Amino acid sequence: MTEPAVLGRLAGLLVVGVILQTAVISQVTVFGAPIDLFPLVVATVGLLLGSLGGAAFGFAAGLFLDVALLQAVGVTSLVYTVVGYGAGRLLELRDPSHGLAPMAVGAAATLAATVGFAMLTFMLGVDAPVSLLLVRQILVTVVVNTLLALPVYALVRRILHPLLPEDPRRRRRRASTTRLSPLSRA
Amino acid sequence: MYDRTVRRRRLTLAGFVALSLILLTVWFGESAGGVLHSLQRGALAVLAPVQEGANRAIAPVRDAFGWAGDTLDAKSERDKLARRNRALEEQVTRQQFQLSEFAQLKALEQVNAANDLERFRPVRAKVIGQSPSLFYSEIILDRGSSEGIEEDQPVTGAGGLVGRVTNVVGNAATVTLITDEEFAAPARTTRGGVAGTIRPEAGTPGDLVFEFADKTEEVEEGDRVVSSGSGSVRFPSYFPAGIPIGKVSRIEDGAGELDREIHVRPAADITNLQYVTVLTSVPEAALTATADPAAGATP
Repeated sequence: MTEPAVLGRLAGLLVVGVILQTAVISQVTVFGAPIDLFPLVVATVGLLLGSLGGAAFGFAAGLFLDVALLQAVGVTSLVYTVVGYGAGRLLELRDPSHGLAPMAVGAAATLAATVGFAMLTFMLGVDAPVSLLLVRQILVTVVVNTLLALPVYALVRRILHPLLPEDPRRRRRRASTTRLSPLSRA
Repeated sequence: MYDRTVRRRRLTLAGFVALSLILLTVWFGESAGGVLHSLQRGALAVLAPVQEGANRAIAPVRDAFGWAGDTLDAKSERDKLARRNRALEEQVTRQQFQLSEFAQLKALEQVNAANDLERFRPVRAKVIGQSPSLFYSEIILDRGSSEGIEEDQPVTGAGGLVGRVTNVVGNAATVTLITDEEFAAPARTTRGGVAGTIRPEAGTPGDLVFEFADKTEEVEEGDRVVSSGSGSVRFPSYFPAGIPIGKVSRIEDGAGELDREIHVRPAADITNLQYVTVLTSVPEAALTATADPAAGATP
């Protein structure tokens, strides 16, 4: 696979993801909080591609969302850049291969994204009180995204799968198979 | 090589962060017709139809999720409304209780005023205890000797005579009701002035019998019965004349005049007393005087 193929798939993921998020997913609410899967998507891309890919995808996704939703351009891109970069750094430093790692990363990414977005919004002068409702919405979003982290991770990994020679799960499976195979001893 | 990678990574992060901040600054700095605002409007024009199509296509799925969410919300709303309903029911119960107390107090005042009982220095007391017996023969009041209450003082309730004080302590008193088996009081009917003794009907709580009447044939159903003062030597009266006791509810004919049994329904609702009045200052003269048959007491 070539670099343009990676970019093509990422761009497709980005466009379809933003359209689905804004047109459909955001309209589904759980306990009064709209579902926001984009922190999960950004964190998953970072977890699969590394810090550079994560930061770039996060920036692009945030920019696209800001433009599509007519928000202050730069806020979401700044937050998602940090989220994507952080998830990518986790891959580079720890290389998490545990099956539940995406859940932990998804929860952390969602918490960072929601809190970061709220803080930036307040710093930019949005006249809204820091209420218990906001805290509840953040917590609900984190819980929902934690539960959805594994399916989202599986979906994004499936989309980017052919482009990921360093997929930790595949690498782990390969290493374990190699050790157990009688052929490897010969 | 490693340094170059690290530098490249950090540079990329710094670049994207800087770019985001620049975009933010430009967006806030420019007018509504600026580049970024125009770009947003253009993107909206392009994306809107796509979003609409996606919205329509996935509407059933979204509705299914929405239904699930609405169900959860509805359950939460139901629980909230149930709590509110319980609170309102408690409030209504409290208000109904207060209303019933008010009605009793009003009736009590009416009885006192209509029968000129104010002159006996009435002390209003709340019923704080009642015999659990089916016969309701005793009640406990929240006022005692500190309020001037003494034994044998008459007690009236909403409607009429209730009983007399039988035990007193500093801050409480017990009242033996007119339905107690040992109760007896001289009485007379307001129509015709037939004199007799009022006693409880054995084994029938809430029912009184008008006994030893001199002219039973003159008594009719619906006649009002009031206390008559000590007209009888056999039963010394504790009650001044003129306090409503009840109304003749039925008359059972026997073989002769003496076998006629006149039943009286108490004017006061003995089973539901919340407030009563103790007549704390009844002069001896009022206890020995007889009721004027012509006076129409108000039960």
